[in-house]
Amino acid sequence: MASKGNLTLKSCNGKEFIVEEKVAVMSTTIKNMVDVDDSFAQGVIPIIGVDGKILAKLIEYCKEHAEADEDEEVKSEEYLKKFDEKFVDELNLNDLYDLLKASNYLEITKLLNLLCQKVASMIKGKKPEEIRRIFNIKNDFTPEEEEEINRQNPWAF
Amino acid sequence: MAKQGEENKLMEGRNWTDIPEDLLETILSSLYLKDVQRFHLVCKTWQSVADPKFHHPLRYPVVESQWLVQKIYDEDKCKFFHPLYGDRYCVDIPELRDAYIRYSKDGWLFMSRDDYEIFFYNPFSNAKIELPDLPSRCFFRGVTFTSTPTSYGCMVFGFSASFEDSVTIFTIKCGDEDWIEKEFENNLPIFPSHCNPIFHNEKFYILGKNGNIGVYDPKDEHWTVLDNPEKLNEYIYENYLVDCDGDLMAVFVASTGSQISVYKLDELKMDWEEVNDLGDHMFFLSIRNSFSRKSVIDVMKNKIYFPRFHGKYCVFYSLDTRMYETFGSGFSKDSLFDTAELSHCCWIEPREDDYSEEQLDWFYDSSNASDDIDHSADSSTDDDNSEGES
Repeated sequence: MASKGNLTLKSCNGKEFIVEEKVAVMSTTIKNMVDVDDSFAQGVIPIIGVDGKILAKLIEYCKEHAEADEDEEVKSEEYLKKFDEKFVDELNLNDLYDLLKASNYLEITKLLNLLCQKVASMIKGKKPEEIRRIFNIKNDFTPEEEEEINRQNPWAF
Repeated sequence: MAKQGEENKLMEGRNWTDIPEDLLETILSSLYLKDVQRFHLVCKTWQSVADPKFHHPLRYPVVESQWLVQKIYDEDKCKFFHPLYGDRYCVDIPELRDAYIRYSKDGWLFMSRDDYEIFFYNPFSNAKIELPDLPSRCFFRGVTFTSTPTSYGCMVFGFSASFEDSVTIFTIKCGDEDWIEKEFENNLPIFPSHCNPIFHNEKFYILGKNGNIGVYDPKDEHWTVLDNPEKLNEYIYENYLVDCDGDLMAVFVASTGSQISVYKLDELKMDWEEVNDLGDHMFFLSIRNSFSRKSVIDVMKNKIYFPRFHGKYCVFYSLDTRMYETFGSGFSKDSLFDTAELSHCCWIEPREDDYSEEQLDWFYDSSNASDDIDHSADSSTDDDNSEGES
């Protein structure tokens, strides 16, 4: 049982994390649950579809940002920027995907934007076939369709 | 264990095509130009994601973008065209049935319907401001207005002129019930060009067909045709008056575009001075409205955009290459042959406008609501609550 001011989050594979409320409510979804139903604040909050590894990552991110929001002296903007960079750099592709989906479900807007930026930076300057290779996506266009899109768009040089 | 094996298999790769569309949109929003195109070429799912930056001008109004808007008289549809991205959108606006576009500025369309009805319409917020009826059955020869119609002191200026020896000027100010109509004998002959007048340095300027200028000062209600600049050559087919960062500029186009010249008015010498380079500026020309903007996207600079199309691509004149070109096709010509003018259109810029319900009433006298004379469009909602007298 979490002590006052703490919440217990439970991943889909049964791992429990006790976190400070201010950290957990970085997630709009969790905030809404706690606001609406007091029993969540006492008991265990199940985080559907998010496994322990990803949940740990989410908590790591939220902890830094919640602390920074509270005390700018200790965790400066510059510190956060460095933290964010390191955070996304260390992710493998599957983690990136899982975090994207999890932060979307949990509505952690800051993290979501950070992850989208990361994906965009992986796409920048690459040809469609390179992008497909990175993200393991199958090309489902016929050559005719590809040509048609190229023709329609002025930027397909 | 079979289960473990399954999990391992799942770990191998994620299906990046099933990312929620709004996330793909967020990703796309930080990509530009070629990267947007390449993103769309990855797979069909990604292709179907619309670029939120240059997407629907109404759903996602992008500030600092310019669109051609077309409204055919008897259709409900408004069509929007983007000159660079080639995006086309068609929107049903039943409010605009049987109405004509007359002018546009700051995201507002100035419309007329039937014989007398006139109104402002903002397609980005669906706001409408009705004006007192036209003073005459015939619509003005040219029309413009000074500032957003929700702002204090907005004035509409119209004129009619049948011959080159006189003009009739009509003005109405926000809050007024009646038009002020004044006829003036011209001190010098002027035959107004087909383009609308512009409001520049607190005065209204009408361009003559031959490049001379008439000025109306609304403060002392004085109309004069300037001695200079002198008339230009006789091959002019169309001309357009543009305010460019406080300079009065004009574009003269000979028939079929075979000659095109840009001039700046030297207000000391009162003479047109030819300009060969617009720098970072873009000119957007149409008979209903013309204006200049600094380009946000590099490739768009130093070009003059016309309400004309080659196929489905918007035509511009590049001052770098001295040719008429498009962004979409390899079109490059020294004349406007093979291009077609879009009818019933003008240029429009999406704006984020902030106004109260009351400001959509032409007769709402904002000067009474507050002692502050500079009571403009940014009046806060606090004012709404403090309204007691009306």
